[in-house]
Amino acid sequence: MNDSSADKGAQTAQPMFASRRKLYLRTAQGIFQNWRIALVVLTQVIFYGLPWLNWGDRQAFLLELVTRKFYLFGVVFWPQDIIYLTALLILSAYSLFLFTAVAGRLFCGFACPQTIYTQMLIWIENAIEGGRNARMKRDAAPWSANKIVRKLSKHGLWLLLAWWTGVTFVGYFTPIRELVTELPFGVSGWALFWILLYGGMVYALAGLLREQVCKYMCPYARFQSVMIDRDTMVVTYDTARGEPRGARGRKADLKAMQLGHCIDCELCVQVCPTGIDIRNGLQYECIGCAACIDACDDVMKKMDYPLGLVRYTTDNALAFGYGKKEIWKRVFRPRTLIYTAILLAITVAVAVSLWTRNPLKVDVLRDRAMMVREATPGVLENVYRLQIMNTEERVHQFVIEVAGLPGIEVGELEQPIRIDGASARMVPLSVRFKLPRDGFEAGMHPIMFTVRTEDGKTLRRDEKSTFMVPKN
Amino acid sequence: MSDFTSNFWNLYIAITTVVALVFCAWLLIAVGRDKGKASETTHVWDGDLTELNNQLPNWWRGLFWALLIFSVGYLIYYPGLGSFKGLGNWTQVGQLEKEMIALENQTRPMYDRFLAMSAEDLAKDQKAMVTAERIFQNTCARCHGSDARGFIGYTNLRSGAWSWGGDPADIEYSIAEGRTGIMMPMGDALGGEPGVKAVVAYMRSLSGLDHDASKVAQGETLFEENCVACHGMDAKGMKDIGAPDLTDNVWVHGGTERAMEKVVALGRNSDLADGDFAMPPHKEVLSKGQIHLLTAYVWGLTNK
Amino acid sequence: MAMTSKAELFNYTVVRQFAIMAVIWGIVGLLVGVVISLQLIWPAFNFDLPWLTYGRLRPLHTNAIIFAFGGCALFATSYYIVQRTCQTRLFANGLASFTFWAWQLVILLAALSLVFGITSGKEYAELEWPIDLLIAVVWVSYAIVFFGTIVKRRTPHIYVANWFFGAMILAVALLHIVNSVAIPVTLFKSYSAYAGVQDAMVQWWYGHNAVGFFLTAGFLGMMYYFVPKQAGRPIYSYRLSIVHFWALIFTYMWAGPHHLLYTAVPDWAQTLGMIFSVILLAPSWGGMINGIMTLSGAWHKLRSDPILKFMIVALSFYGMSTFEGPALSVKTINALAHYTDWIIGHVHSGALGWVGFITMGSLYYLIPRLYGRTEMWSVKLVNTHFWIATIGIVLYVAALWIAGVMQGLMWRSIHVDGSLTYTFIESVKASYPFYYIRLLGGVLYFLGMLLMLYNVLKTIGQGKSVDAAVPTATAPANA
Repeated sequence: MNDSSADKGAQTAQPMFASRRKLYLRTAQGIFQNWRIALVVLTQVIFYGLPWLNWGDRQAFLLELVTRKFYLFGVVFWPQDIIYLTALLILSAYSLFLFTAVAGRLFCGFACPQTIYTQMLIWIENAIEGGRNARMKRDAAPWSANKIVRKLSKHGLWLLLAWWTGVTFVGYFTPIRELVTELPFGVSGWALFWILLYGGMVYALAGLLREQVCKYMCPYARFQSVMIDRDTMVVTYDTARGEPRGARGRKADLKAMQLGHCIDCELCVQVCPTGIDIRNGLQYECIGCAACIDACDDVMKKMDYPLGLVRYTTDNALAFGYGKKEIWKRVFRPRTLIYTAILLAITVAVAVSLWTRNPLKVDVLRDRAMMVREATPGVLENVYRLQIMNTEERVHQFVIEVAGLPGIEVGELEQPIRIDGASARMVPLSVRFKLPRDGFEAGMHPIMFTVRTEDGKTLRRDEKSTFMVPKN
Repeated sequence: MSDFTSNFWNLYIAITTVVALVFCAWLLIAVGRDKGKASETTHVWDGDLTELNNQLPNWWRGLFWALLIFSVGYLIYYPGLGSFKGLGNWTQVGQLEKEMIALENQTRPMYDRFLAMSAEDLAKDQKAMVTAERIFQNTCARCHGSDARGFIGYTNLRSGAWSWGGDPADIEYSIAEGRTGIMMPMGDALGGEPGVKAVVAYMRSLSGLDHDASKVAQGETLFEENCVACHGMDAKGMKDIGAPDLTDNVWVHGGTERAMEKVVALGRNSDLADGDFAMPPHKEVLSKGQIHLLTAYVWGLTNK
Repeated sequence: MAMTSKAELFNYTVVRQFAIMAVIWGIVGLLVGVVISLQLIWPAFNFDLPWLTYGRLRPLHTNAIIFAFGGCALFATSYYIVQRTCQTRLFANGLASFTFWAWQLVILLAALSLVFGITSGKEYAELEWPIDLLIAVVWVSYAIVFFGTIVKRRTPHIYVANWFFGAMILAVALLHIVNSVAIPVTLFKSYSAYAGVQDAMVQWWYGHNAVGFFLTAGFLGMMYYFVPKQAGRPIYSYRLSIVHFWALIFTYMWAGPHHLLYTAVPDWAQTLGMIFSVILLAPSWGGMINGIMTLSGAWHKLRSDPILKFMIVALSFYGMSTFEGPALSVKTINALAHYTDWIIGHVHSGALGWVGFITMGSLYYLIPRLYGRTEMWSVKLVNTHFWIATIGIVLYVAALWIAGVMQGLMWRSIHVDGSLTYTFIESVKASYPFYYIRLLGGVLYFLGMLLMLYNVLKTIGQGKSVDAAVPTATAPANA
């Protein structure tokens, strides 16, 4: 597209801003479209359904920002647990690297929310306005009552879906069952802001802007393109087989007509969500959705030609004529193996850490204004605060002990300490140490606090700290 | 507005801001109207560097305009154009005050309930004491220690000894208004070191600490001549002026002979200006409800 | 290309000097970065030596990366580009040589003085007044060489990369001189000419424009030459470069106060800082679009050309950082993110991703050509460098983004009674796991840079210094 518009630009004046060429998508049918439908259904059943799931008497999946409590089924995460979000982010990034190295922009074509919501809005569009030809005809026709009604109802349904998507999104952060009772006009403040913003984004990005998001705005699209190498399977038109292209009858003699397998029906262009012609080779606009494969295979079937004129294959495979086996062998190359190894390592680490996660958290804070004092002659005291965080959702009674120096003990303190479910308490206490008769080395001595439930088994955490013995 | 020393700066800021915004808008319009001279795309540099003159994406222009319009709206509502305060009358101090008032409104019912209770009853309310403990940790623990047992120079709130009185009303006053006590330097009046040592020996005998028994009699005489005005004949102190009880073996400034001699000889001035050990007033820092709650907490430390 | 027998040669000597020093200072700067990120986890890595404490090494790290690595890279590429695109040898070659030696002296003095604890305490402008004076002299010399070359050019038009370099040189001169005005007390100590909140405003006017003009405009200049060269494609849109250049120049100057939201800076200044930062999204993305679309016709080359990969990732990070920046300058978001590690993450996604990658890509293009070759000694090693660095960046940025969110959540967490839930130290304790991940990411990025040094040395060893001849034919006004 650049070359043509550039050449024109060199000779003739053109307006500063390009208005977009509207695409009239034809919906492809086939195995890849089925995959996409499956992914739409799977992800959206989870997305729209999850907030409605309950766990005990609360929402199973709720990220409560105000109280900084993140409920995930049986577990309550606190801000200190947010490291798991980092792990998730890193896993996502490396998975993106891996999948893209293996098979190109799989994420863009099948799992990206932009693709998924565009797909859903297209279904609505098709249902109301009909297929590609009907839509083109209607848009070209003058305004009529029918046209107005259809357009209005399409945008109305789009907005409705977008709005509900916004509501669902907010339902992850505030109890959705309470939220819906305030709908539609009782919602206010930040909840309303986010419903409108998120819903507005769905309507604008997936409904109106569509492929422009992928072509111009999305940095991940560029990022993925660099992850491709010569052994990456990407949607490719087999030029050698297809060219020269041209129209022909079903029974035409290709040799006589000197034609390749491409019948130049342009269906691959009509189904392309970014409006490119895959026959021009790998282009930055291609999101790897494989709609053109579905469309072309359909035609090949009808023409009784072998399938796969447009197919997933690698640059090397085309150049050196690799078979399926060789292509697959080359999937396992150092890059993909390293990514896989890293992914496995992180996954295992996260799993282990979740499995062994201690729902009791303790922070030990030394008093710093007063480092040490003499309680009674020969008995030293250091003062601490223990922030005891019970992230389980039931009440516990905790006992605090200290060890690390001979005879060291916790000073007067009402024990056990009751801490409600999913809450924290700062417990101030002093620790006493009786100096031995023959003196004791001055300085900071490592000690260990143990906070445990009374039985010592249910919950227990050890935290390091220091005890100061002054110089005489 | 006091930010600007003269109206010139006010205008300077307002005008340059508007010029910058107008310039951006003009750029979008004017370059957009320029139909692109054909020659401009045919420059060649360094052998093969050329330029196309492609059209700009419309969405990008839309984005630019949207941001400019947002900015204009923002400048109308918020302060930004010189001394123009903005229609929203927003200030960051105002925002802070608003948030503080919101918090106060949110906690008012709780504190109203506390204020309606006596400190004695409040001290028995476990939930209230959890809140009280947090306020204590935030406000009081820096000096009195997280465990409220203090340190040399800072009162141990669990000792049971109250120089300024230990009733809830006394404690509440101490927290709200602060306390400034003065112990006069007595070294000269007592006749120098021997006299000081004698008085300390007498004081230690009152609390049952080991002392030089030979000096007690002299010390008692000196004490009656010099100290009883504040500390009383029985040496049990006077809470109205914060003179401590000298018979309870609680020594705010340290219980060794050396420490006591120093206090007697050199005195103690807890005037804030000296940076010495004064209890500062908190009525500006804490609300009435918080002070009442803290009173109950502190009183409750020794009155279970 | 027309050539005469006794051709005038381009001055590549100074380009070579700066290019090599860019790689070396890059290694030094990254190493110091790795050391201080170690110290955040294990403070004992200051070895109880005052010269190696965090407080002294941190400004050394920032100065080494921005002014030593970034500065040398900018000198090298701008001297190369301005000669090639003006089709003439540098103006005042002696002065150009002076800029090299004097700049290296500045770097050495900076390193020594910072390590010995001599600092003016202004972020990214810590150097004391004698060094500031030397910088001013070097910078004016740089301006003379650069603009002198532009004046004696043989091409009718000034290439777009040179607009950006020119803007950088003028703006940085202005920023440096205004911000560094100080009253000297001794040779090693001075006090800023500004007091209190004015000092803070001048400081961040300087500070953010160091980002805007040094780290953005200068490196966009690099992008505008090396991306079309490596891709073998024309610049996508001339008018886009006009619009985004002028919009960038006009808006960046205002953005500084977003570093001082919710401080003693007057409300009006905070508002201006915020709105101009938000507007900046559009011109910044204009640059990104122009870069990416320039590459669009060469997309198939991405499969095999690691230099293009560096450039595309650099542009992606430029796009992400310039989206994140305006978002962070919005008061509501800033209230959560300010003073947290999110900001460090944001800076590094720009520094490692944009500045680092565009420089590496450019140097990988440039260095072999300075030594009579067309390719690095090992393209495969360039590829490896790229993969290691991308893995490293992900770790670094993801860790600090989320660490920042956690810190923001913890600091602002309050009980129902309005008292704070956490003490500051608890948020520090909770940050440790993130610091491990960030260290790992930094080490990977550093390793990549070591590979680069090795590759560069091998390339130099196998080639020999060649100064290309200046084509004498005037470029046609209409090709």
